[in-house]
Amino acid sequence: MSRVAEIVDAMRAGQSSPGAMAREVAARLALAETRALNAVLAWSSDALDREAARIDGQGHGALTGVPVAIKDNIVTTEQPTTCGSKILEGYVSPFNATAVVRLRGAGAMIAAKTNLDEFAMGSSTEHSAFGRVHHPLDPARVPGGSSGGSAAVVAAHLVPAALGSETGGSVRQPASFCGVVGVKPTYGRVSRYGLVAFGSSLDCISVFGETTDDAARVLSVISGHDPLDATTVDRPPTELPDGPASLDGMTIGLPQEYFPDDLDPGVRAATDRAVSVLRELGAKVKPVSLPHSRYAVPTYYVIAPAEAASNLARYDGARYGQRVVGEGGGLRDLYRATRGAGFGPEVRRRILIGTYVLSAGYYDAYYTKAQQVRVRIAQDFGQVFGQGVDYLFTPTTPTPAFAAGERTEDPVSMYLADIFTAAISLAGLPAMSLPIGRIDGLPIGGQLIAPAFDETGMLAVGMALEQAIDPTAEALS
Amino acid sequence: MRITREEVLHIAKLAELQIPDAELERVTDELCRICDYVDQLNEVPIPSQADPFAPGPGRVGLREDIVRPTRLAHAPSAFAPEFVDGFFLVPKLDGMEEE
Repeated sequence: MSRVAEIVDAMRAGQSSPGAMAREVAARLALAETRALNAVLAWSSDALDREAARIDGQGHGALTGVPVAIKDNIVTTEQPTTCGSKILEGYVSPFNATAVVRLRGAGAMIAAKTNLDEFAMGSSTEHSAFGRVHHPLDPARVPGGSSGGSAAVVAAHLVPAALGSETGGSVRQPASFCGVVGVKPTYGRVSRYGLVAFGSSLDCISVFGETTDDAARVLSVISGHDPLDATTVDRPPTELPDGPASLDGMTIGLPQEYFPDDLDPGVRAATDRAVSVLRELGAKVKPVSLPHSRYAVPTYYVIAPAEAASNLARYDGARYGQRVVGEGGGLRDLYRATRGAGFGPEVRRRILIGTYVLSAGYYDAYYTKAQQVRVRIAQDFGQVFGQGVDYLFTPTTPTPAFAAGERTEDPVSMYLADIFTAAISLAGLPAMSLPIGRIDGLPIGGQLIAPAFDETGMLAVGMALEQAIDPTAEALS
Repeated sequence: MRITREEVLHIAKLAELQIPDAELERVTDELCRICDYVDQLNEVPIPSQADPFAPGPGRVGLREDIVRPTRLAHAPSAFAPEFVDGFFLVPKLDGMEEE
């Protein structure tokens, strides 16, 4: 039984209480501070006690008493929301995100706000104004990003589930690095209301769980149409799978572009073994091609910065957040000084790139071109799924967790950490990462990709693979 | 392609970002490297009439246009740098028209 299910059952049976859970989580979070993971930006015993008292007054719900951590770019009224940026240091939102409202309505306890790459821009959680997050198994390595704090708190067993956000792989990639499950839903499945905007045509609130079932239970609560987000799709929430899927007669495609010759040998060994397990479970496995996926990262690094440059224009020191009065003392001096001092190097870099590709003379060469390639990337997936392939399977990342500092000086090498996840985000499809083995003790993730809105089927396949594979086994032994 | 320092300064102005002189060369070099990397998109043949890709619902459903009070957990005075008598205070617009 998953940890989330255990907690809910214990609450229902009267074997535990929200107050007891609040004390247990507080003890774990306090202990974690001594390990210096730096995964948490805000938590307090008082806030947990208030959450417990609130839940005590509710009837039993789908997540009663379950502590859930929230990435710090999802707004909450009880804790600050900083986005890992100096420009929002101390900011407390006047409203809760829809996902948070739904979690609370289902009886979940908001346990903590988690560290992230500033404004979710990064793949290592080293780009936080509040310091880097350490990998739970090896403090010299990164946990992945940008939702590295949420991945780390689940991997360290501080909470059984956490919310993150995806723009190009920011939940699947850290899930892979940290050895937990990360689920990105179809674009439009979960409301973005209260998710601080980065790349609006890509952003998805997504879920981490210790197991697939943990993540599925949280996703089923937060998904569904929201009148406050016009890009949500008018469909009912994601249904929980009945259990692990039977893979008999199912076709799993292996896109050859995701198994390049220079793939890390350990990652290749782990994915090969997972493919063997899929076959043993009855699936027909066949090679397929997604030829435009090789252009996903450059496409992403035009579209996402362009959208970011527009979205981050709102941080100007006028209405909220930090204010720095510039030398001239005028309004424009205030804008430039506030933004120059408040944003870190990676955010500044992306705003500049985004502004450049949207500027007169370069718009068609970069932005229009990237939008056209995005169509091709999405069409590839449509063609494969239209030819009898039920799901796709790939490695989630080309390497295990890399060393801190290894890629911070070279933005392009950092961007390539998302090489197996960005195409799925550009196509708006659901996907998940689940642990499939280890290399020298470091987790490796396998990625399942589904047609739009087939999260339930994908999760059921994930459960089947999870049940049949030892995620702690060394891939090269 | 080569982006010049002058172009970077122009982009920074458009983006309302102050870039310290000491960082200008590094920022210029990084932008050049990123644009060089992105230039590989030119390898992809594109039909002249390609429709843009839009994820999400085929039709955006807008909610009814009804004025409702917005319940805020904290008043603007709690999060605004300067908020007086219902107004967000900012410096004067002096000099803005010239730019």
